[in-house]
Amino acid sequence: MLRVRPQNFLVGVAWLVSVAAASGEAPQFEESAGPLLEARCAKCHSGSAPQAGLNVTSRTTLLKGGNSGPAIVAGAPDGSLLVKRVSQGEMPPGGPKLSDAEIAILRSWIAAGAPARNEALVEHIPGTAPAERAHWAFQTPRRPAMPAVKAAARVRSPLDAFVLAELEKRNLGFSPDADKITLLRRAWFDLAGLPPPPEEVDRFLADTSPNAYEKLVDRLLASPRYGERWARHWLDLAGYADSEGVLAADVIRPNAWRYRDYVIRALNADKPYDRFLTEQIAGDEASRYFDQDRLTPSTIEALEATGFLRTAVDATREDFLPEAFAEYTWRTAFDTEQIVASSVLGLTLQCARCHDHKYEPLSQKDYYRFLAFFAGGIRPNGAVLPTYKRQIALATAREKKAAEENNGPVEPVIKALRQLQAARLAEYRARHPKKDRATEAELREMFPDYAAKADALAEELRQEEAKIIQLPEIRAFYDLDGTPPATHVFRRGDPKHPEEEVAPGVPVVLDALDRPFEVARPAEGAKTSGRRLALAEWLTRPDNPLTARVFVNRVWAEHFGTGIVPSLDNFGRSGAPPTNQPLLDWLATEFVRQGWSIKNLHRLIMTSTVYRQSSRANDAGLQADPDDRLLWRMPPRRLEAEIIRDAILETAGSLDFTMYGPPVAAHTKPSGEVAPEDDNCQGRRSIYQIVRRSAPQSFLNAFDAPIMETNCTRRTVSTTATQALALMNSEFVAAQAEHFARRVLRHARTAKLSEAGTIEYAFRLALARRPDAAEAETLTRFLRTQAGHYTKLPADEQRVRVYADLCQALVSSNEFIYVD
Amino acid sequence: MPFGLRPDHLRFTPIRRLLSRRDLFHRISMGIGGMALAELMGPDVAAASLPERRPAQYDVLPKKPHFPAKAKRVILLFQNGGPSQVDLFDPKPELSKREGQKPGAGYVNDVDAKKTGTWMGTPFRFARHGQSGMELSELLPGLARHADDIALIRSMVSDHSNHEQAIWNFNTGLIMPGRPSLGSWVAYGLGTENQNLPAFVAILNPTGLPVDGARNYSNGWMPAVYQGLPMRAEGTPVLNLEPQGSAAAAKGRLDLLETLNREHLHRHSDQLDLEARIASFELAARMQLAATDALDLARESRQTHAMYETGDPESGIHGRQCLLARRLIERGVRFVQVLHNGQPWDTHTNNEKGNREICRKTDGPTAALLADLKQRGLLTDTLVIWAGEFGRTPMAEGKDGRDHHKFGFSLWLAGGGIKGGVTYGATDDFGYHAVENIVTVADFHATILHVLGLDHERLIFRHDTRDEKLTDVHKAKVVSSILA
Repeated sequence: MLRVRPQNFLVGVAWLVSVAAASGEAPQFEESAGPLLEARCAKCHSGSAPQAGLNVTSRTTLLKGGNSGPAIVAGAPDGSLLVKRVSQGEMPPGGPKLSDAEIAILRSWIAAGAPARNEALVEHIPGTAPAERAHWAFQTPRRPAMPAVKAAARVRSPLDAFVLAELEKRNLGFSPDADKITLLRRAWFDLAGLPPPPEEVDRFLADTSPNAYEKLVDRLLASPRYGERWARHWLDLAGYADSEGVLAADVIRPNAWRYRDYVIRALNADKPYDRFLTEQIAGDEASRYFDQDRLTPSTIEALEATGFLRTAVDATREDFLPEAFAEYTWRTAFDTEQIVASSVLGLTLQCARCHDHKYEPLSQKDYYRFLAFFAGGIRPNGAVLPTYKRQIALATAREKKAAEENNGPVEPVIKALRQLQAARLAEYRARHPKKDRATEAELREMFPDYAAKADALAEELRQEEAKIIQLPEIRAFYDLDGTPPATHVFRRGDPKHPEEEVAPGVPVVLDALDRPFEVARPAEGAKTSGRRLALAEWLTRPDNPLTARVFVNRVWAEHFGTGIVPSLDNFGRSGAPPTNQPLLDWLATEFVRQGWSIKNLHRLIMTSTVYRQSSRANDAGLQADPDDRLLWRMPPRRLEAEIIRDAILETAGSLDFTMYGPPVAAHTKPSGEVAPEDDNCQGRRSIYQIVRRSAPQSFLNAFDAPIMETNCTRRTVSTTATQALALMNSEFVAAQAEHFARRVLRHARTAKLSEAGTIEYAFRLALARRPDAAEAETLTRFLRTQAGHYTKLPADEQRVRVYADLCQALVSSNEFIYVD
Repeated sequence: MPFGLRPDHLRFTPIRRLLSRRDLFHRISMGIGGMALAELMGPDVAAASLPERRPAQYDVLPKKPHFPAKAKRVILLFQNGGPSQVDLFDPKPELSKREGQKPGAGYVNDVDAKKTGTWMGTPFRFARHGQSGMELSELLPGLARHADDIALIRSMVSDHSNHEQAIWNFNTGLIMPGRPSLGSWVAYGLGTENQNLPAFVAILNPTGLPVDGARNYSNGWMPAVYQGLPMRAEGTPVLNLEPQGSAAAAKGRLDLLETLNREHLHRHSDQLDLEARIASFELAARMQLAATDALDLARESRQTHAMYETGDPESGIHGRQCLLARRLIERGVRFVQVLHNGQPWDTHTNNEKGNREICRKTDGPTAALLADLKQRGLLTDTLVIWAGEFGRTPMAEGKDGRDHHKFGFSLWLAGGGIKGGVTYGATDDFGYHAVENIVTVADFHATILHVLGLDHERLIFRHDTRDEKLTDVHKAKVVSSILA
């Protein structure tokens, strides 16, 4: 099998070698190979557009090589293409061959490491210098030894020792364990994204066994709510949306939800992270779906997973001119690269699109080599294929053919009926005094014959439409055929100015010296390029310096509010350094050792002493480490937008737990508010609400849910008056507060609760704990005074109103939307 | 007042304290040798001496400008769709003379060269107005009365001929979505005078959103305090501003909420964001009062309503939008952006009819706004901008339309810091290419910031690892010829 090697890696190594060799008395380019090549080869191989892309007039350009790869490999004459070609007499073509003596000059120069006197000609390639490669995050993590700590009694897990060691260096220690209810609420929000119901509180409080908490964590991890909660984090990274974006029309993506469901299922099934990534990056190549007439369930899942690479804004249309198609599609390609690099690798690779990265050892070539991974499936300069047609039908060839044969004759009939419908509407509008502004209802009122005709036509249309066979489709990413078009570096990032061609490859600075990245050249007639599969294999290699670290850091950040590396999407030299690298490296290596199990990672973190600490501050901690970087207490956190909404619904007893499927539609109210259709009664979890880029849901948007432009690698937490207004006055919160009140009063009737008992029940539903005496008194007094505002209502209704007001205050309170 | 007034304000707590730029440079310089450092840093290294710019909390408290400002606030009348320069602002007799002729080489429809039509002169008459003798179309009789108040730029160019990209270019400085809009930058740079109202307001047309929706006033990656708060000039002006049920009951709820929150804060006294959240409820309550007053157009006199044409079936909506803009500006809102629904200037077909309609809807109210600001002494320190994302082709699209055009178009500014009666720049004989004193969108942005006392090179927001500017990497120049 032929192997294609990325060029720059070799150049980099050669450069290192050459620096070492330059001190000896080796033949310099200027005195040896230079003049010879100038005389014999430069007629074709020089200038800005040399033959076959090869310029022989400098050491740098020889190392860079041409269309066939590097012309020389410093230190290895036998491995150098230049030597091979001249020795076999292929070059120069048609002229006298090089003599043995001349070839010997070339060989000895290359053997000496191809030194050149003019150091200026030695181009620095970002990612090759030892200092650049030495950055901590570019080294494979090594499992650190467990440090010795003084307060060994608090160590439940090795990760406690790593945290404690740093704390003790500053004369700090862990805070005491949080009380059971705090811990319960924390675990519920962290894993299920919901408040614990009172029965669960009772159950947990009643369980006095030593492993009661561990059992709780296991129960929560086994709950389907877990996948729904954590999918949101991953979908932020993936930039998931149900619409295409870019164009004002912001067309709906009818099948995007399959990818969302894939993520939920994968997390619930604890799909190992290496497989999770491989499916998302190369599910099509890994499953070889093209060899299957009827797709197996695991193939379908793998294809759904590739929706990861189809989340970027993508607004191509059938009627686009090729130039417009290319422009929009390049944007999609660029965004796709950014999504992968920022989420999985924690690199700001997107900064190298127009020029070499300013702060990182990432070259512009690195950027385009990475872009080449996706060239098989996204072809801006290829045939115009509108977005919605880039789908894989879930059907056998026969089924597809049958559908085509069936639909073929029906489609023109439907089209004709629709035209007739429009014509008739226009005809009657012309006869109506309001002309074009007459509504359908007004026409029906004025012209009885119109109503009859319109109904008959609508019925006919319905019947015809029912005849259409709709095959389910997956919005997958797949190679269009085995030979992707060439990928070029774009001058200043502009696709209209392609320059040097590059092969797919990983950033030079991350490429292992002993195991360089390779893409196997596809066999003749292969249906896929194998590029993304190679990328996935490289990403999930246990020695990959970033993949495991970046992921465990994210999971850590979702549990503690801040990552061990605070810049979640930037592990480069311009990012923040880890606050505790041994901890990060131990977690990363342990994660891989435990088979990349995400649920085990949660278990590891959540059963530790670090996680179980109280969130209460103490003076020593506040003074030594006010930001709690070292975790001397559990940092309190505000809930995310979706979780606030879900928690309100759940507290009100209105949460509809239906899982999966097409998103819940949203509507724009006359006030301009964008809200789910079902928001004032039963509501489904926020993960199933439609994400439309041009019409973000108002309530979620107010609480910092991201507007998906590319992806969201880190949410901001803001405090604004818009949020306060939403909690105080929105229809949603008001309606749910009423449901909450009715739920409480229903229960009070059944359980024959006193007023104090009723208040307590409401309090527990919202905040898990019981009110203390002062709070109980405040609430009791409130019931009385607030009743004064509803004196005109019948007693029953008055009670509902007063309780609804109490309930609204509870779900708007800081305690409700913060987790200790 | 639901509870005591406190001099508090909106706050934003970054989820992590980002590294200071100084830290970044320090760390990089520790990591590698000096030569490589210079290589990595390039000309940017000088920036290392800049002070820490990232506050722990983002707010909209009033900020000092970089240098004395000529204007304190902005009303941006955004003309979504791309108004036609040759029909409104830039008379071209040569174009009319060549009516129906094929344009020469180099004059193509940039959206689709195949759609390049023949030259199409304007059907509208132009006349000179005011002392300055500024030439304006007969479609703008109201504006014509203010010819000596406005600076007309006839040499604008944009970077894109598609609506979305050009709108992003105009609103955020680059032809990509997701960046903060002009109003967010101004709110970030200057804060606002009235802490009971948002710093940045977008006044929407109640019949619908503009093309590209909420992105027109998005805060992009800036904290949400810099987002444009959408308001409508009728119906529900601000989302969730009105309590459900009676005001008294709402106050009871709020009082209870505050009691619960204070109790909770007592147990978590070290958490600043909890206090900020309590303050946000207080601000919301104050905003209910302040906004209710600001939004109540009924408090205006009959004469004022007549002047703004608020009762007119065609221009009434825009009249109410402009009147609301004035009321907000008067109360210290920093930046008001007025938006049409859809894109009324997008006259692909029947350019003549389209222009007549939209001018009929907007010219009167626009003129009323200028006159009203002037009579109230507000025009001296309020910058008024009238602009669309691009212009329109001087050649026909189809039979009688005009297509998008980025190579030369017109817009105007008035008020604080602006020299009235100036006509700046010029296009060629056909109104196709800007040829004299070309103004880019970045120049335009730099000029707006300049008038507000802000240096576009120094108004920097740190986003992730990059120092962002409204003008990004563009070499922008302030258009000093239009400044007073």
